Amino acid sequence: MRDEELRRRIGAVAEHGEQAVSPPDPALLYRRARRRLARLTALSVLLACALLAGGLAVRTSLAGGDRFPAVTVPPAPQTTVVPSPTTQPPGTTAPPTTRSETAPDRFPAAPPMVGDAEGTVLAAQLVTPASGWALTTSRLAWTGDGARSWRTITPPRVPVGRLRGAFFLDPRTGWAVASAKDRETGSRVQLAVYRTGDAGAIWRWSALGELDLGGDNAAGGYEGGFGVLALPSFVDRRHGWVAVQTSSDTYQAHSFLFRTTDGGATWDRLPSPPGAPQVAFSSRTTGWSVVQGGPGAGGLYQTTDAGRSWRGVALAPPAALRGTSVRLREPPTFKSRRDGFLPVEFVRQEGGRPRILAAGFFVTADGGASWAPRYVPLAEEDEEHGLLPQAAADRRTLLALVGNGARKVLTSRDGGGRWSVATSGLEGRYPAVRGLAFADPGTGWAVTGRSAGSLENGCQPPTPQCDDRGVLLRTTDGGATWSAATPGG
Amino acid sequence: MAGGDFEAFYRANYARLVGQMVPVVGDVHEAEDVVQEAFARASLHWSRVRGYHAPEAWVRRVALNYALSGLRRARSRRLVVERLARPAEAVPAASAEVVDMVAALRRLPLRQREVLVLYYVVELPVEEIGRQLRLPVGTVKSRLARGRTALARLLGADGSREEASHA
Repeated sequence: MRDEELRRRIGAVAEHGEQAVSPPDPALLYRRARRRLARLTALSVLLACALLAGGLAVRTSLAGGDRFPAVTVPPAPQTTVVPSPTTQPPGTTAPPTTRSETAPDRFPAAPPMVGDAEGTVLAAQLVTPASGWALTTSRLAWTGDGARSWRTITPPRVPVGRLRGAFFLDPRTGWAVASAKDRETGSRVQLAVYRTGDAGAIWRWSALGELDLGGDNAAGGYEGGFGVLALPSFVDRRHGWVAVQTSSDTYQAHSFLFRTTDGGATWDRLPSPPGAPQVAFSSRTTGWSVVQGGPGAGGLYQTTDAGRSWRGVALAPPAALRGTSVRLREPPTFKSRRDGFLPVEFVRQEGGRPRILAAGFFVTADGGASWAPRYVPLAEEDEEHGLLPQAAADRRTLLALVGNGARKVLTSRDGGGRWSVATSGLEGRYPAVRGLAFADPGTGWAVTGRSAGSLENGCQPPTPQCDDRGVLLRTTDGGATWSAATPGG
Repeated sequence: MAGGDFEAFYRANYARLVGQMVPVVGDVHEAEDVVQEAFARASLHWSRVRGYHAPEAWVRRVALNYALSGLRRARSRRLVVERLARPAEAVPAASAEVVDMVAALRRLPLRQREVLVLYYVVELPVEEIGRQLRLPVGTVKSRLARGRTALARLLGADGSREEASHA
């Protein structure tokens, strides 16, 4: 067929389509946009923060074969939630951690990060300065040499697209959650937890059960990615949790929380925490959950009974930022049993829109009994419209990426007192940085994506330099330079 | 959210972009779905998108991404209904030639359809297609060549359908 003929005939198809339609009322388009916006803020951002508190998943080479047993999860026990105090004391305190609890064995360098659900790298976790995993669209991959080379650890017979979350406690011990379906549909979701104690050589699995969405249909695959997030989090080899959140075609989020005390062989259902799936545990009994938003709309919650009940924790802005509200988006990261870092933004409404005046952390050095603000004021030009990626490298080193396209890295080396600024070299290269993690003051990973919240920033294709595929980056100089680290294949 | 100049841009380009998506997705309603989603996204970022050299190219690229990502396939019936009050029967009947071409295009990989549309309908040079899709020019050319060959085989040298030759 000649070129001209081909052009005419394909053009006829396009012309038919063009003549068949007329633009709908823009109001309907805006409604669709608002739904997208709401979904991005309520789900995408939740996802990004959620894996920061949880983990990722896999399949099995041992017991069980391919089919998940149909185990119906019993109804959740009644949730006990005590709201935050309405008055916020200047020094923020929470109920003291139970002294009799057993300390966890160890903490990974950083919790998992969730990437763009339509990206190449869906999630990743920096487990030690040299090691970590990345879940891509083609495999669950492990590196032991600082993200220079990767080996596949995807559990046998589990399509990688079924993985809904993972978590590694150390380079040998990890868990992953997989769905029975490639894409979630219907009102019932079957999940299984896979566990390995030998760096992914052998995976065993157990059923988490069949979750009933009460007539709603799981909207898996919407926005091209996670319809169900199932985020493991362990404080030692035996004690862990899986927080599950499903999106649905009615935009209703369904949350579930499960607990194991035998390394994942058996699971008990707990009441849904107020901020699921954004749940993190700092000991066998103490956990943290964040409901996104400012006062009245969100906050920090704590459990001291392993997730059976939750109590609000008051957080007040520092005196210098009086009049701002505290905006949280993810639970704290604990570097040890005592040292925790809760990312925060201090926000004031200006001209009908929120202005981020400062960003930083509420920091605890006593296991969460008290929290103190450590922050850096932001110039208006450095304010991000979505997430401000923040990470603690150790007790004294705090980092944040700010500015359009995450072009600056702010670093404090004295625990948040003084901050220095440097360029990151990221401007114009990625629409957004969705996750940031540091194992030490030099070694960090970042996950990029197309969107980081309510608005996109950075760059937009088709700018030639703009990579919107959702990738993994690594730095070895504290964020001054970044290089590509996405596993191939 | 976007204002008056966005709406002007939207009204001026909507139908053309839907037309360009029909050969890619093979269905007018699905084409509308991905284009509407792309415009919805553009409305959220209009202050930035309007500054681009070619905002229409940005919207087309987003729509193509949605088409290729399988977004439309994952949409529930709710969103199909939300496709803004245009019942299926409102689409005028296509000619036999159009029907044959749509059927042939549907048998091609989406990546080939995408390149064919950008080349034959949008009339972009291969270098520009490569730039917009972030593909090497060689890849664009090979997809074009494969697409041409496949369409010629599927439609027959004289433009008729291939079914008889495979009977």
